[in-house]
Amino acid sequence: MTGSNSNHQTPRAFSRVTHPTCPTEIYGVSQFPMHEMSIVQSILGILKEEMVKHDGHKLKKVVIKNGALAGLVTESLTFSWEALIPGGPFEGAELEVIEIPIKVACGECGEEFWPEHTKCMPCPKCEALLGHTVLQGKEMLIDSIEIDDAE
Amino acid sequence: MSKEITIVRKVLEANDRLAEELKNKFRVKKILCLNLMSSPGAGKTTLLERTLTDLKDEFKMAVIEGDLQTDNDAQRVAATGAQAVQINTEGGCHLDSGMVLDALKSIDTEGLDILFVENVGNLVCPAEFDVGEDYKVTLLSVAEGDDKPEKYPFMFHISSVMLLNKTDLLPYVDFDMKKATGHAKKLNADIEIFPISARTGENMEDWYKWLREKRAAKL
Repeated sequence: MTGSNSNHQTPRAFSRVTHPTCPTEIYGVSQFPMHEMSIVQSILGILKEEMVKHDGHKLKKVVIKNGALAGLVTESLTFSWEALIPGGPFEGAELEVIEIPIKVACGECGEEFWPEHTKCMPCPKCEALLGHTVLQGKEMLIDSIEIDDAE
Repeated sequence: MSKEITIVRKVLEANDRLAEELKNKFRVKKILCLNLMSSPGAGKTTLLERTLTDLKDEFKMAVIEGDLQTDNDAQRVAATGAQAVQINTEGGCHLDSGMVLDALKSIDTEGLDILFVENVGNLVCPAEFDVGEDYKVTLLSVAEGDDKPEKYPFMFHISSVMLLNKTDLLPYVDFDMKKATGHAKKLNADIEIFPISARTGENMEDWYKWLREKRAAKL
């Protein structure tokens, strides 16, 4: 890699929150980097059931929906997946993680908006910080699989 | 032939199912179940020792202890006369509903009023796994720093109670009570905050009042 790009992209982990009502610096990456291993084990359990149900011979791909509030770091999920599947029935299967952004309805005025940050969510219309209803972003789902039928 | 199949299943559905089973048990038996969480060393076991001793004549209580290793905590709790069962997670960072269901088999639930589940000391993973509890109670000791609600937002977002423990140490540590409670309220407007010292017994009555109310609500 040549160092032609002098504009270093700010790492996501250190993204600053600029809204005046928010704390000066909040770290952007989810705070829960430790339990993805057991999450992947739960996923594998469900996949085994689905393979039997659909008479699958080989799992090619699984699609996971990961909400911004679900507490799962996509990179850690991928890492755990790669650590757990070799030598098992799903060896070689691809994991796709779709990240679902957070959407809330303001607790004061009802305005629906996509907060920039999961921890500090000032309403763009009335500035309220608290009492929002989460409309989207708590998902932790196995969305779909791609399989090969029995030979 | 290759084909795509839509599934849409919750990753944690197995735990959710077992948690529901536990909730039903607790509903039928009118047991108040509390999931007690904190970092290691925040004072969960000391809190329980004092609570179990002080309310001994009022409630029948039991404790499920979660630890990576040892049954030290279960022994401390059992010394108060309450039933205690130890779960060793052997390195696991949290308790789940399956473990609690198993542990419950060793507890005499007849006439039981309150069950405390003392989770593995960790402000991260236990937040994710319900164990059939009515309420999540998070303990934060003032020695840990007033920025913890900000650093572990999910834990404080989902907790009904934050106990600020070790207030007897306030003169010796830089802990801004307003900052900690402010962040916790920002994350969760409904969170109830009780500053206490489980060691000296200071303000424990606030916590007991909450326990009495919630227990009465189960009847």
